Amino acid sequence: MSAQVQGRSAEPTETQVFARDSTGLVREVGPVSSAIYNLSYSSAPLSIALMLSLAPAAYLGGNMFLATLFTLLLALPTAFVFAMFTTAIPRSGGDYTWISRSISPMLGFASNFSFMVWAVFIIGVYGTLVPSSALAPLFRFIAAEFNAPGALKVSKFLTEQAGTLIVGTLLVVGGSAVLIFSRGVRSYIRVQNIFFGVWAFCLLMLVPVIMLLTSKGSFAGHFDSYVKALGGPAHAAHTVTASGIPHPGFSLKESILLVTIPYYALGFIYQSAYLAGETKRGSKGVLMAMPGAQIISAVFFCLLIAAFLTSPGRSFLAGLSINLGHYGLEPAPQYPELAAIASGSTVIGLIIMLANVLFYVIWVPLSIIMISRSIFAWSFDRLIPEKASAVNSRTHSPVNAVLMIAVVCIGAVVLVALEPSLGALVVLLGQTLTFVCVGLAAMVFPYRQAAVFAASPFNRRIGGLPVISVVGGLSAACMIAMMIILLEDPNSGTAWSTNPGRVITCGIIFGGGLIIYQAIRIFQRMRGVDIDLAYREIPPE
Amino acid sequence: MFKAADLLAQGRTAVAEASDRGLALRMMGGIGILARCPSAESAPLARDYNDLDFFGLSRDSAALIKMFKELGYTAENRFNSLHGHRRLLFKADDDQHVDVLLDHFEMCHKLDLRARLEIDAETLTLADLAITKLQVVEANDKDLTDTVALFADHDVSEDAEVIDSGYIAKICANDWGLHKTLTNSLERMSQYVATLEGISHDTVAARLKKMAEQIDAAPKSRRWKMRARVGERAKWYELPEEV
Repeated sequence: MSAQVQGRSAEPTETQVFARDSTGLVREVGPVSSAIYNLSYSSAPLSIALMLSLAPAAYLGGNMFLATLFTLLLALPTAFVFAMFTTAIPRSGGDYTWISRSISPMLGFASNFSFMVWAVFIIGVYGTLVPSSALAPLFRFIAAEFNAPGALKVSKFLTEQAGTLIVGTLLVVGGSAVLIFSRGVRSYIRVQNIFFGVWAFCLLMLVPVIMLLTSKGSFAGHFDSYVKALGGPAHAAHTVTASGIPHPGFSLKESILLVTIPYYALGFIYQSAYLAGETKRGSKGVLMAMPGAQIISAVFFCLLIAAFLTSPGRSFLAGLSINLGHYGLEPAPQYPELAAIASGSTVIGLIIMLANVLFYVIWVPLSIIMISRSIFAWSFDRLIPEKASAVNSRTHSPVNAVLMIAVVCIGAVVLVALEPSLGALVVLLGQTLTFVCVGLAAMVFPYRQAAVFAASPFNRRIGGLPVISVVGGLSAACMIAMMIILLEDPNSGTAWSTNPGRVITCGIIFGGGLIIYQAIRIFQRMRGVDIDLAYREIPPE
Repeated sequence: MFKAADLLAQGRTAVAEASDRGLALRMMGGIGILARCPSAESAPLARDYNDLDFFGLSRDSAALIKMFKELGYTAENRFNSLHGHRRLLFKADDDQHVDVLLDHFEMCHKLDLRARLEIDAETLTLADLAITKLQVVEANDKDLTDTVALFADHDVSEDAEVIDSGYIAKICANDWGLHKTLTNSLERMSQYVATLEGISHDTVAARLKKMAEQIDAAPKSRRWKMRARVGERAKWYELPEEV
């Protein structure tokens, strides 16, 4: 950064004089906000919910702690690659900019196009999850605590197709409106930080404490009362526990396949890289925001798993997802609702349930921000019309990009609402393919962009090899291993044995990106525009 | 490097053009100080200039982009798309840069200058020009000479016609971090001035001292006092990045 240089004084002086060529810029998103952005994007609440409900029932013998550790080891090199690239080429568009400047523009576009298609799809998934996994449990809790049958009706409506469609669409429209009418990313980040703070306190701190302090017997009592208040059968906790599958003992294979679930959170915790033009660039801050956030997330993952294995216990968790109708709650309560029930307090329970809603609400706009930055990058490189990156003259928000994303996302909401089997995990394979490309780009980056590499903070070498190349190779290998797990795991939604069509779809989307890029290149050349020129420079941002 | 006179002429042209269009635009930075300080034209305070810095209002953002384009500059679309609500960047054919800061001056410290644009016609006020230089924690050679030029050519007093010490003391009395940086800078400047030849050391030193005394004497706000309790244990400034 600032190098100390000799002053112009006639005599030696203690006055320090620094070198700076131009007016400085304080970027809007600091390292803590970047870390929160990443932790928020990582979908930890959903992943934890899936872990606690799916692992005991569908990954028999799988060890949740070991799976979390395996995931961390597999995903950590990619977090470091993202951190290194973010400081070396801090530009909007993340993988698109890095791969297009390090390997080839065509691969960069295809990789990013694929990632963004799946990112849009996951917004569709979230659009349907907000009503079913956040609002419906909240209204169910209200119904039980306040003996309000109307609230139970609302809860049921929110889990039906019409409910998920309406609320999901409203969520996308509302999230887009927030971004259109807010000035700069800073105002959104402020809201994000507050919501995340409330969520983290309630769901990551309060919930484990409640579960660790609640005995199994006490939990069963609270659960029975809750189910009874909603018109369910007596002794529901016993019914649930009895219907659980007995733990068959440790299985290494199942523990490895179980990696799919924590990977959903720990593998997607570096998305602030896509808005690198607006984030502060200290190397320590980026390491904190990416690998640091990943490690923090893994710790809280383990804490919550430990808390829920203590109470209500593995058998109860396994039984929750089986024979839903037998104990009167459908859909099965997820961990926030279980903690709210365990608290035995209407106020604490409501706080937990509302905090859970807050998290789901901020997820959609933060994803739209990420996708909009890739659209910016495509537009800056003339792959799509300049109008796509145009900003409103009054609010300076990227209206066109946000509107484009909103329209596609509403389509994704409709798709997921009509076909609920398209769960969240389906996106993992396609997005992991992008990570493989990022790892490969990191391997060649010091050789293809020697000057940029030399100027970056992470320009060290080990045994003559650039560290980023070594970590990039490790990252690519780990992500290929991750893809193999996703292709093997029958619960991933993209297992080759059960869902070959979805695997092929991943390939088609990626291949589609390659074709689209070539088509644009030819079209622009016919208009006399050489888009290749854009890839020879890394302009100011 | 660019000729100071050429850049100053460009700056004045842009300010006049903006005025004709009903836009608030003022020069700041090195060229802004050159416009107000004759001593910056000759040694030992003359220096090279790389760019032109302006200050404007975000409500005029679109109109300013249009104006600078019509004046022959190229807008840095990539940068302006992401940061245009608070800053605009342009480039001339010869790679000279034009920076337009909007609403707030934000480097090591953040200053709201929206209400300050109406005071002087061509540049930011002398007090604001001084603060924008004194708030730099890691000052470069140009920051130091520009600051000396300001204090060499202009008196310090509670008057908007000179370097308004009342205004500076008032904003420092509400912001412990700014107070800390400015008092440090004034002390550093006193040492630096003593090493320069060809200027009136006594005059500049007396003005710097007067400024420091006024800043210290101003009654401090509750917010200032609360932050003062934390002191240097928490970082009180930002270090901006180069664009």
